Amino acid sequence: MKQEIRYVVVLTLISVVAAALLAIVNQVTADPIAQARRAKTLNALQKVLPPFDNEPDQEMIQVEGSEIYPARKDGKLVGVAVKVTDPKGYAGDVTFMVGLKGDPNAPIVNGYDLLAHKETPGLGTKLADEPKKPNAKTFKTQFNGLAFPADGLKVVKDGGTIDAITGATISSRTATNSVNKAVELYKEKAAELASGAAADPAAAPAADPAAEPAPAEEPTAVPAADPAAGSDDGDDKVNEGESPEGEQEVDNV
Amino acid sequence: MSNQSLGSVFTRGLIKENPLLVLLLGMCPSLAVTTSVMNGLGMGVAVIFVLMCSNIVISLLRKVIPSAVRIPAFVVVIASFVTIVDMVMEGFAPDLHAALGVFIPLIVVNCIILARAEAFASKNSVLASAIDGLGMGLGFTLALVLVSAVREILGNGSILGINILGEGFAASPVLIMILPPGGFLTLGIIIAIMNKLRRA
Amino acid sequence: MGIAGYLALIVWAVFVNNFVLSQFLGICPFMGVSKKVESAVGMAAAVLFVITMASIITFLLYNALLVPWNLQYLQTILFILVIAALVQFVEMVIKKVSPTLFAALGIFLPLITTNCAVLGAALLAIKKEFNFMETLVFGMASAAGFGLVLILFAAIRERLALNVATPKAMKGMPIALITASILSLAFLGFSGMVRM
Repeated sequence: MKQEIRYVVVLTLISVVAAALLAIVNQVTADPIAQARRAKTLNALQKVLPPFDNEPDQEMIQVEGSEIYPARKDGKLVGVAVKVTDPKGYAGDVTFMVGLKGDPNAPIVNGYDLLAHKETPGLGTKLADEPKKPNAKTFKTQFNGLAFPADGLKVVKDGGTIDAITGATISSRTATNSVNKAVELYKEKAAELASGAAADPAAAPAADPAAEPAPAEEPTAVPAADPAAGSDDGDDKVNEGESPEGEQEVDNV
Repeated sequence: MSNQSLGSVFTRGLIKENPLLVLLLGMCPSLAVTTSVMNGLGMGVAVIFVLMCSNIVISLLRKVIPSAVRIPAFVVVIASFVTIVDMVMEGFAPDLHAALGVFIPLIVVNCIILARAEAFASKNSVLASAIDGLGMGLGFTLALVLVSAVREILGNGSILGINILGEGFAASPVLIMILPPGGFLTLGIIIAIMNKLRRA
Repeated sequence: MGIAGYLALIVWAVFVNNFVLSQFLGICPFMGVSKKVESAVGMAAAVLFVITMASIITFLLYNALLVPWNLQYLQTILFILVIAALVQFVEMVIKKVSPTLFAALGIFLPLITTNCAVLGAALLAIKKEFNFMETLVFGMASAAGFGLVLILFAAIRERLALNVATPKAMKGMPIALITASILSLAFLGFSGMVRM
């Protein structure tokens, strides 16, 4: 009997010390871990959004399985990033962070960042390929600064304009589907997003249910989108002060 | 055992009794994480840490732990250090942590660690056990880096992410090498070469 | 998950996400026990039982104990201890029920504890946030996938052992690994069949 007691005592002691040690390490690493997790999201946001000065992840709006991150500069909405997961990837879920700006009814796609996937190396993984030289083209560069067509984005095979990755049509479709979904959500939540900027007394919150389109390079936002004017958005360069950088601010349609 | 020189204790784990290539232990992570040299190296370093720490602690406690419950006791010690590595990696090397995934907690069942605890640390001094852990860990890391180097060069045209075989190759590499079949193939051939060298 | 979902999960766990050939879990016993078809069958059965029980118990412990107390970081220690205890138990049962099987499996039985497939199954089920039923089906199907490949491999190796043309340096582990690579290549054909 004495032996068994000794076994139990030794094992219990070791387990207790181990648990205590781990509790301490857990405390110490809790912050860095939270930071690291946040950094991943922030990194993606930096890549796909126009310049902003708020903390989009603190203002995140959850819509079913997706997340919308509003980006603001000087209190005005300059764009949104939408985290979308398409379950129809070749091997499972594919998660994108899609950057959008402009009028929700005719937005401009700022590009996307691939967050998670299980696609085949060499094929579906090309979704994430970054251009190696400044003007080089990859699958994802097609989406940078792309004006969103009224009936959504599709790959060429389905009658659209996006060139799919050779041999990876299904993976390519997840990109177009995700951007389409992101735009849908942007439209759906446009009012809520715009009203987040109502804290700024200079803005006229009620006047613009559609978010103000602020061309990326310009420091002052342009409260131009007049709902009565319809979808012909305020990308005419009417603004106070700054001359536009001549970026590809295209008029839709 | 105790009159073996510390030097030989160290070098043994590197080549002659290389845990992966000679003792054939720890094959699961070796096949799974060796898709790039960075991952292989990261796993190797994690294993060195766990191996050394658990060897030291088990050696310290070797006179206290009753033989009948030694395996569960060893397992608790090893699992604790593995959990520490897991948490530290998630906080300070999140990309590596994501790449190694489930194989970080699986270090606890890496036969190398339990085998060294049972065969050496429970019977030798703390210093010798620490050095044994270092030697075996380094040997394992070297083997991992070797396998990853082959797989990454052929399957991605790069080492440590740096392209070394040119744009043409990188656009269309031998993808199978970074997929599971390539892992089995590479390890099999390397072990065959080791066998041949040891017989020569 | 409806019935169709569970069927898809089974196909996924056995073929598309095969533990040995795609996930690299359970290699050590895979190489060690697969020299004879009989011991392979015995090992497959033992592993099936251990993985199933381990998946259930770890799932319950995780959700009833660790999560409510915010102790998720203790999962590695807790899980491996549960598995070790389970294997001890299985060992005792097999010894009583079939001493021949016990003798045939020999050292490999306690080694099921360090079989990454068992701990791997438990950890993966948690990671994928399966519910109880899904965890159970995932565990059993994954173990079945392991067993399937184990038996296939044993059959191949029995024939291979009769082949005298194998170079000396290749004998044993190397030729086994290369055979596994070909099997893995074949299973690669299943990828994309089921999405999970």
